[in-house]
Order: sequence, then structure tokens, then C-alpha cells
Amino acid sequence: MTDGGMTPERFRELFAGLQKEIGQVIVGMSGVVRGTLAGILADGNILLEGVPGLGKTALVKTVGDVMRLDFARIQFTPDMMPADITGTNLVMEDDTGKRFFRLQKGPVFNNVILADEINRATPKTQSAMLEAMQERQVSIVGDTHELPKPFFVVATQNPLEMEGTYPLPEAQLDRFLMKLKVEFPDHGELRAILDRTTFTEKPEAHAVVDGASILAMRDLVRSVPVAPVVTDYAIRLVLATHPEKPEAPEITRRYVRFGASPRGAQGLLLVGKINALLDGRFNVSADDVKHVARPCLRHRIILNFEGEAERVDTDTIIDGIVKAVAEV
Amino acid sequence: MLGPLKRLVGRADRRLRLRRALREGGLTLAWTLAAMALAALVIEIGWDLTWRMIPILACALLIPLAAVVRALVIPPGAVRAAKALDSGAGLFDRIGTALALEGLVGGLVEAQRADAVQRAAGLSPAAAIPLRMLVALRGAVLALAAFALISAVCLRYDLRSEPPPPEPTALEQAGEDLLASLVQIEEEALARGDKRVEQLVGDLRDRVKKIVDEEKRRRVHPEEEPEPPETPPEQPPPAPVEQPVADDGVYSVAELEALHAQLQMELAAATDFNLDSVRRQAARGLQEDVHRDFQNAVANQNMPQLDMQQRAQNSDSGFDKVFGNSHNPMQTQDNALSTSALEGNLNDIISSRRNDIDAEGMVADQKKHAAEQLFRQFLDEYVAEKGQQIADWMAGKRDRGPQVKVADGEAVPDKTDAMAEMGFEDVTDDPYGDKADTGSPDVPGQPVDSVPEGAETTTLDSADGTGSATGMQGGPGEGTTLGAQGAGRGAPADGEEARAREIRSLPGEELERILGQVTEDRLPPETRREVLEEIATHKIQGGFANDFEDTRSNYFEEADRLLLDESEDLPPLFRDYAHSYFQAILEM
Repeated sequence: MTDGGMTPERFRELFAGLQKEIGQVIVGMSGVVRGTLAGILADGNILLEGVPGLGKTALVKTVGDVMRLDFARIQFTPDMMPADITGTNLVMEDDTGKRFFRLQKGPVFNNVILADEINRATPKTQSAMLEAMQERQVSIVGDTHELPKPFFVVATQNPLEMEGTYPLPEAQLDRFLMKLKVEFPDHGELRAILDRTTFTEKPEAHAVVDGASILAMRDLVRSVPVAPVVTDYAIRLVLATHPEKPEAPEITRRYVRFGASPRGAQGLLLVGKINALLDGRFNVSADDVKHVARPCLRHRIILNFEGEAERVDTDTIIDGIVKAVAEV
Repeated sequence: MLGPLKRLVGRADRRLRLRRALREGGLTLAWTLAAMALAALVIEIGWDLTWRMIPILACALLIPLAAVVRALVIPPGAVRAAKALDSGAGLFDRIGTALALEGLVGGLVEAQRADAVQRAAGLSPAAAIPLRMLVALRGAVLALAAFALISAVCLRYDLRSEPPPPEPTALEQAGEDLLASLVQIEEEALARGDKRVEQLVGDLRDRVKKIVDEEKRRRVHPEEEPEPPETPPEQPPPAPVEQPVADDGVYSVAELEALHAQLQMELAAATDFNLDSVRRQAARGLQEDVHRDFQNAVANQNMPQLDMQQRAQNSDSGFDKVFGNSHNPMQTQDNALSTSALEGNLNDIISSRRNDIDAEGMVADQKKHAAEQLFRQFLDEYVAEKGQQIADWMAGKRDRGPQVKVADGEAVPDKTDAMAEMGFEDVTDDPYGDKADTGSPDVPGQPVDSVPEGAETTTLDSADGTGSATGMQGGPGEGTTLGAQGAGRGAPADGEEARAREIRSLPGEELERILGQVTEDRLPPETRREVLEEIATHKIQGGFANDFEDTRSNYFEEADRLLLDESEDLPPLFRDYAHSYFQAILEM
């Protein structure tokens, strides 16, 4: 019943501990925190979207702290080069005067990468993250270097300031397991933020898990069984995001140009498994899939001209799809 | 291990079938009832519950029954049953996953299976899968409500399909045949240009159609009472005709009397020339012709030896077509069998038609008689009124005092006597008080009390001269004096002499002219002569002549106004006649 010593109960216990420690620093954003942790435990990358000042960077930094993982923050700018992320070979000289190349690792060689305002970098630099996010490795001057485990990227982007930005291409967006929207805090949360940040006492988050525990938790997640009927349901959901498919409802055919990739279905089931474990179950239900459909599919659906013109939210389309697709 | 789960799913499967049967049966029943109600309105299958409705109702009930059977027979499947069980019990696909992954081992599968069995223990499919009786009941109630609503609307607005009308009666059928034949006869007459026959046949066709329509109405709506025949409005009893007051030689009264008498004659003639009477007589004649043709046809059918040529000759009248007679020998026997019935029908038609014609003729006669009485009354009253007016006017002239009378162009020496003979008096007593234009040169505008002595003649319209003169006044307020200025005392001037001669010569011409206008046939010769003399006198006397002209004009205007006011009550013929009469007076 255990994978690497990790049991579902331990999983839930650790997860609750992570949420609690993060909550010491981050006020509110419980859904974002849960989603971020779920994405990490599902071996995925997370894209946080929200206006500046909502604590996205603080959240990611806190996540790195509670997981006792190496953390690196990359502030993306237009003049950033790929080598600034991956690193480069430097010409070094030893004591004998012999020169040699030595790899100067970039910030990507950390467990937790905060790609802050990732959409401000040029596509060339953004693409430097593709291999790392998907393959968990980087290639530098012909040499491939494995990234440390666990490795995950949490990127942020500002949806408002579009000037001087380079929207992420679809290929790179697909690398993110989930896209989480950081909402503005309400009155109570804002008061708590002020209380914690305007006094001398600085809140700190203590480490709850280490890298090994995270890997064990990831293994446990993947061992959660899924009934074929639930898998079929997740597949029908993904297929329903494609307007040319017969499963597509009317709202998809009207507003969607291209639907989710198979990574979307993978995300549905993986995050659904975490959702089931956190709910005390050993199986994924259709409700789990429904629950994670928005964060797993919203950045994978590309609107057509009509959808862009009418400013249709992809969440609305996903809700329509969930409503239209039968569970059985 | 999964045995309990399988049994649970089996029970859930049966539960699902029952629930689906209820739902689909209720929905199908509702739709069927709605379709029946709609069909009753659209295709008029009939609303009454008769034996013909039994198969329809049976079919309507078979459809929901088939849906129920289908729902009970076709299994929903274990997956669906497990899904329903999981959803109903809030197990989040535990049972379904455990059954689907029955053969797998390792990982969390066994834990999941155990968890599913544990969670499903004590689970009741009845609780997890309710039959939703409320839903079914709501559907049934909705269907019944819709059915009741549609029925209520149908009954309220009488949208029920009406039963087919009974078959046409023999009389109606015979009438239809007769109508068809009459149409053909009319077309033939039209082709020949025979207006008389066309008109008569058209009239007969209208009457036959009326009879047929009445018969059809009785057949289709036997409960409706036929409308009572139109009765002529009650006319007030004619007022006793008062004889016009005899006047003192005023010709208008006599003229009107003559007109009255002539009108009586014309009315009598118009009665004989009544178009309706002619058409009735013609219609009767045609009916008799038809009846005679029928008798001939009956005789022909009873005589098989009658040759075909004679039959064809008989058929030319169109009568064979009326009764569907054919020259086919195969049909002769059938036609003979129906002859007596057809004869009876035709007799009924003719009898009914004759009664209708008589009734309409009586109504027309009553109307005409009422119109005549009304016009006579109007004419009598008008004559009396005008006669009285003229008499009053004449009496007013008598009060005028001494006047001059000129007859045949000769001066009357004894003017007083002459005026007395005519009933005129001195003009100084003019009741109208219009004497401003009368006077002598000495005292202009003053009335002359008497004719000066020594004046042998008195002329009208004399030139300005010396001495006093007597002039004739015009009508009250508007008359123009013919000779008011300077009929002086002593010898008249040259203009006066010429004028006197002219006047003396005038009566003859006027008489001739008026004689030509006053028709001789309207007045007795003596009366006419007297009238013309009066006209001449009035004309010569100027003032009287103008009064006459004015009166005549007023006469016409008032007559025209009365005719216009009474136009609704007067027949056009009489109104035109009266208008022509007064127009003749005006132009006289």
C-alpha cells in the first residue's frame, strides 16, 4: 500500500503541513497554494498569472523554503540571453596557466525556478526554458546536463502590462501543467497582509518536506488507479476542446481555434489523482477531473478570432464543455 | 471480494430500469396526450368519445406502454448502474473503479477495492437510486393539465370538430339540378342574345337558389329558426285629402289641381307598368313552362316507344339535364322510378316559389301604394298652402287702394272702378310701406293720394314731367317700379306716349308667349284664358308682374327645397315629375 514509504495518509499529512507553513507567510490564496503544490507533486510546471504585488514571487519563494529545495529566481527582461538562464562555458586558467572551459551553471540548475515575468523575455530566451521544463535537462554547447530532482518551474506573468512583452508561444504554454490565476485579496486577507508585513516581526516558513519526500509523494500520486470510465471522460473533455471533433459542443465550435494537447489529458488525470488523495480516496472520480479541468485546460485552449473579439474567457468555454460532456 | 459490489450493482441495474420506465412512460404519455389534443384540433379527428376513438386511444396508450417495456427490457449496463450507485451514494466512482479494475493488483488498487467494498456495505440501491415518483407524477400532472387546458380552450371557443352535415335532401338535390339546368339555359339565351329569356331565367334561377339555400340551411342548422319574412313598415293612415281652396282666379291653384289630376292618372298608369309585375308574370309563365316540360318528360319516360329524336327534342329544353335524365336506355328504368318523387319536388318548388313571389308582390304593391299616398298628401298640402299664400297675397293687393288697370293696351278712364273690378284698392294703402320712389316732381317722394282730375290717361314709367303722377310700386322691399317717376299731371311727354304704346302692345305678345308655355292640356280653356289674362294684367301693371315673378321664383325654390327635404320619402319618379312641373312654371 505504500510507494517508497509514502502512504496516502502521510501524503495528506505532508500536504497539509506544506499548506500550513506556506500559510504562515502567504495570506489567503488557498486555491493557488493547493494548486501550486499539486502541480509540483504531479511533476509539473506552474504558471501564475496575476497583477503585480499579489505575492506571486513570495509564494514561490515560500514554496521553495518549505520544501527545503534550492531556489532560484530569474527576473526575465528583454535583454536577457539564454545563457543567462542555462549558463555557459567560461575559459578558466589553472595554476599552471593552462586554460580550460568550465561550465558556469545558470539559475536553471536549481530545484525550484521562479521565472518572474517570463513574458518579458524574448522568445529565444523563453525557448531556453523549454528543454528544462519538459526534459528536465539543458544542452550547453553540445553537452547535455541533467537538472536536479525534483525540478519544477513556477513562472509568473502580468496579464495587464502587454507593452514590451512577448506572449508565450503555445508550445511553451503547453509545458505548464497548470495555469493558476492569482486573484486580488479581499478585505480580510489584505488586512492580514498588512499586519504581517508592516511590523518588525517577519513571518518565516519552515521546511516540511525535502526532495526525497517530494519524489515519494510523486510516486504515490502516480499509483492512484483510475477507472476506464473516468479516463474516457477525461479524454472526451480534451477532445471536446477541439472544434473539429464530434465531441465538441457548440461553444467550442464557435470560439475555439485549437484545443488542448494530450498533455492536457495527462494533467487532468495527474492532478485529479492528487485531488483524490487529498480527498481521502484511492481512485480518481469524474468529479476530480471536473475539479481540475479549469487550471489544466485554460492555457491550452486557443481562441479563434470571434472568441478574441468577444473577449471570451477560456474558463467559460471549459465550463460549457464540462456541462456538455456526459460522464458515462 | 467484489461479490457484494456486483450484487449491489445488479440491484441498482433493476432499479435503474424501473426508474427509466417510469420516466419514459410518463413523458411518452404526456407527449401522446398532447399530440392527441393537437391532432383533435388540426386534423379534426373528432372530439366526442365514440367507438371510433377507441382505436386511437388504444394506439395512444400503446406508445407509452412500448416505452415502458423497452425501458424494462434493455439493461442500462453495469457501468451505468455502478455510476448511478456511486453518484447516488456519493462514493465518487469507488464502486465503478473497483469493478473496472477487478483483475489488477499492486499500488493503490487493492486499497481502493477494499475502500469501495467498505463504503458500499449497507448501501441501499433504493436510497441511492430513487424512483423519482415526484418527477413522474409531476410529468403526469403536467400532461393532464395540458390536456385539460387544451380541452377547455376547445370547448370554450367551440373549436370542436363539427359532425359532418347530413346528406342533401331530395328537394335540395333536385333544386341543385334545376339550378344547373337554368344556368345552362341562361347561357344559351345569352349566346342567342335573347334578353327576355335571359332575364326571366335569371330571375327564376335566383329564386330557385334562394329555395335551395333555405333548404340547405335547414339541413345544416336545423335548430335555427328561419328569419321571419320581411314585413313592410306600417304606414300611417293616409290623411284625408283636402280639396284645395278655391281661389279667386289665381291660376296656380288650378294649375296644381290639374297637375294633381294628371298625376293621379300617371300613377294609375305606373301601376300597370310596374316592372315587378311584369317579372312576376314572366316568372309564373316560365314556371308553367318548366312544369309542362316536366310533364312531357314524365310522359316520355313512361313511353319507351318514344323515339330518340323526340327525346332529344325534349332534352333541348334543358329539362332532362335538370333531372339527370339520360338517353341511355340503361338508365330509363331508374329515371322512371324517381319520376314521381321528382314531380313532387318540383311541385313543391313551384308552389313555394309562387308563394314567395306573391308575398313579394304584395309587399311591393304596399310600398308603392304607401308612396303614392305620401306623395298625394304632400301634393295636396302643397297645393293648399300655395293657394292660401296666393289668396293672401291677393287680399293684400286689395288693400292697396286705388290702382290703375290697363287692359289690352288701352287706358282705363275709370281707374277706381277698374281696380274695384279687379279687387285692387288704392296704392297709398300699400301695406308694405314702400313708397319712397313714388312722388311728384313737386314733392318728390311723397305719395299721391288720388289721381288728379283732368288726367285722361295715366301712364307708367313716364318721364320726368310736371304735375303729379301715380306710379306702381314693386314688391315689398325689393320690387322695381316700372313707372314711378313722373306720371305727371297734364299732357304726357313724348317718351310717355311711346311707352304707353309699348305697353298697350305688350299684353298680346305676352299672351302669345305665355300661351305657348302653359300647355293646353293642363288647364281647361276657360281657366287658361283667365290665367293668361291675369298674367297679362300683372305684367302690364309692373308691380304686380314683379311680384308674380318673385312669387314664381320663390314658388320654384320652395318646391325644390321641399322636394329635396322629402327626397327620402318620395319616389324618384314622382320627385322628378314634380321638379319638372315647377321648372316649367319657372320658365313660363
